Amino acid sequence: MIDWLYEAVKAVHVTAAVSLTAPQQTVLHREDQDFPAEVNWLLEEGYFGYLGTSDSQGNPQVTPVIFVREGNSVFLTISKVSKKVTNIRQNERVAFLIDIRDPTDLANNRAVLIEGRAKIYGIFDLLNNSGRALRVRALLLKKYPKYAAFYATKGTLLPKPWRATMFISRLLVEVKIRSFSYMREAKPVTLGRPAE
Amino acid sequence: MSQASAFAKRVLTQEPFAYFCTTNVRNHPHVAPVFFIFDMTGCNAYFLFSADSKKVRNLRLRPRVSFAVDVRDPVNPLENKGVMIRGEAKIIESNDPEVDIPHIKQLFEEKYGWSSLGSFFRHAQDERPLVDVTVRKISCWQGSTFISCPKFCVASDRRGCACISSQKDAEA
Repeated sequence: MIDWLYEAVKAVHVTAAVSLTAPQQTVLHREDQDFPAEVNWLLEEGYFGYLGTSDSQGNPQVTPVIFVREGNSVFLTISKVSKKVTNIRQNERVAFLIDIRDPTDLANNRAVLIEGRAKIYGIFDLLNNSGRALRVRALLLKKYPKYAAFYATKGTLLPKPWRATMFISRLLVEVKIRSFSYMREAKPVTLGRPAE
Repeated sequence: MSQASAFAKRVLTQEPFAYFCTTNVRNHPHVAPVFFIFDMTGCNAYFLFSADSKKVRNLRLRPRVSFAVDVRDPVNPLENKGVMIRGEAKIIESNDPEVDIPHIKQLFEEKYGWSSLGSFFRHAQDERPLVDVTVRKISCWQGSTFISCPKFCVASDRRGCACISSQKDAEA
């Protein structure tokens, strides 16, 4: 257990049909419809995620964000003026980490690291994907009701980059999940088959 | 010291997790949660990683890294706080005369409270290399306030440092 102290977590790579041998990063294929239950749980219940981006010169940046999962993607709304947006415009490859911490036991946390491509939605993307965009909006309101209430009542008091107004202050970003790695303590774990 | 600077100092010394971002040679980012210590005297952060981890493979080839440490508020976004650091990572050799390894060891054990039996340093250096991140820029946010380079940061004196003393509103 003490080994765990050397890293917060050690990646335990899983595959859709998981094996204990030669851990590999899971690469999603078009026909994949779902993830192992543990990964699904993090995608649905994880409250904050950490978006890692890098500019064209390879300078990385990582910041916490809120998100929702829709299908095989996660969606974020991020400030138009943020460095994240600048980076994504230069390099669409991103990493996205979702973890759940146990404040009473540092060793007891779970995380999934997603690697994928980020797409910034323009107005035509929103129009062409209006159904999905509405679903994402509903998911955000359902997942973050207290944030939604805050923005509804006090949003105008915030500095412009912080406001929730789409296209004026914020942009919708889709991270298409290309692969993922599940992390739990230092021991290899078998995650089982994708949830049905 | 401003309130935000005081907060940044506190979060860097007290929060248990950092989120560490590297890139590989194809410029694909990678993020992992890690333990860390922050040494205020030199404005350096120290990490212990597995030698065969992706982080170490990445930073050996591309030493520019970033990490974030934050305090989350699930109710009020104005109470979200955090620090994001950019810097250059270097793997410390066990015989490096410029690094005070006993001091770093003490900082790790003071922060995480582990006995010498469970010391962070009980594995060989080649298995668990010590990584030193030389800070080039600190950004911290507290609510809607965003500050580059708080006053305690000595990195602004370094060659190549990107610190600019400025204060502006920024994103959530």
